[in-house]
Amino acid sequence: MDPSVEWNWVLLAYGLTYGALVLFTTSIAIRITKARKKLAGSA
Amino acid sequence: MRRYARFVIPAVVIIGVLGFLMVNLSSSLVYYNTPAELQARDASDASLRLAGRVVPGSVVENEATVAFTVEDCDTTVSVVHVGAPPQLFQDGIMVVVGGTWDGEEFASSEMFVKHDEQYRTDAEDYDRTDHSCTDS
Amino acid sequence: MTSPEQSELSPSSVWPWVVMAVAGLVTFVAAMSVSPDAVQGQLSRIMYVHVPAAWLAYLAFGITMFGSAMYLWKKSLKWDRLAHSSAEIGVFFTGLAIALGMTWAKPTWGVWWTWDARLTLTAIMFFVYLGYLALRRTTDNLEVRAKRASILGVVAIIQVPLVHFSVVWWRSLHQAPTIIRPEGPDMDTSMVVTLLIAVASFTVMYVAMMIKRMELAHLEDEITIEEQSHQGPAAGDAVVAPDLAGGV
Repeated sequence: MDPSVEWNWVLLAYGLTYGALVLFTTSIAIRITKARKKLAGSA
Repeated sequence: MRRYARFVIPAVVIIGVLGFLMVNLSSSLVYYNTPAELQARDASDASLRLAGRVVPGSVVENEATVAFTVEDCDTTVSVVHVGAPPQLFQDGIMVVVGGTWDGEEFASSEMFVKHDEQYRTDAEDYDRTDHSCTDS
Repeated sequence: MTSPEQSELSPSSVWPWVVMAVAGLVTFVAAMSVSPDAVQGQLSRIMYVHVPAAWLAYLAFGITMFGSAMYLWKKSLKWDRLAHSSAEIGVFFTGLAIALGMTWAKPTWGVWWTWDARLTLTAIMFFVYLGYLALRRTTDNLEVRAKRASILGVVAIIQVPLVHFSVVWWRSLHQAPTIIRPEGPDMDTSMVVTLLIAVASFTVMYVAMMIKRMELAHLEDEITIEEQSHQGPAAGDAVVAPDLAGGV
């Protein structure tokens, strides 16, 4: 296989990995912020 | 009621998906046949899979087909595959082909490269000998 | 119900985010520096994220089982939060391992997906743990929720060895294990070392993710307790035994 084609697949895999990791960890961060706000408001 | 729906809808979806997967699993347990098992079978139109190592030097590429021999445990089967083989198809590599068996030749319509568990930075270090008999 | 100590709700720590970023970077540098496999070429680099993702799925569901068993024994909600947090992270990494497996399978095997034993069982595992997360939504009662989830959290672990050994027990398109096998790793040392670095980095990343996810689980439990205390008595609480004796 042409190395440049191989690199495209590698790029896709690593883009998928780090893209998904950023989305998932950001979702945890956002949920933490929202929960803290809610707790501070109700206390 | 909302609480009920919140549980039942995902439950139905998940049970449905699991059921579908279980049906598929039963046919996955014998994912492929070995050359010896295939030789013991009668010719039939039923589609099935065959796995083996591509015998080095046996590959003949034609316009729309590729013919080669696969081997496992010293038993060989001739295969004619219609269509383009996967990029990694080469001498000595493991393949799984799907198609029909006419008693002499396997007519393949789908081909997967079954990459084995070896990883080598130098091609010379690969073990391409047919020492690993598939369990039967 | 005992209210969790105030100290646990101290300001959110930043360092776990830093640890995650560093772990991700270490994996990337290691995976891009190693020599590629002679047959697969550059495609072999996908292994350094696919294998760690699959490993974290196993580890995360193992921790879910541990937390679930500890909850059933100790009845402390902190163990339920451990199990829940780990299950969510495990589902994430199972999904990632499947997606990466597909992007690796297409150029090597020649197909995105096939119903072989390993792939089918992994898909089942993914949906069962999604079911675990859905089961947790069936009640707002923290103890009832924890008990239901814990039972599934313990039972579902059976799938991990099933998935892992499927490639040994049944014929599959997916190859057999390369590293953990009786004859020792069937891989050049440089690649084994890189893979171990990637697995170790991802494990560190998992620990950091768990710290943040458990902080979130704790906050969510606090909110639920808060809301339930403001709601006043639950509907069922109004039903009291009739005073048959006539009272005083």
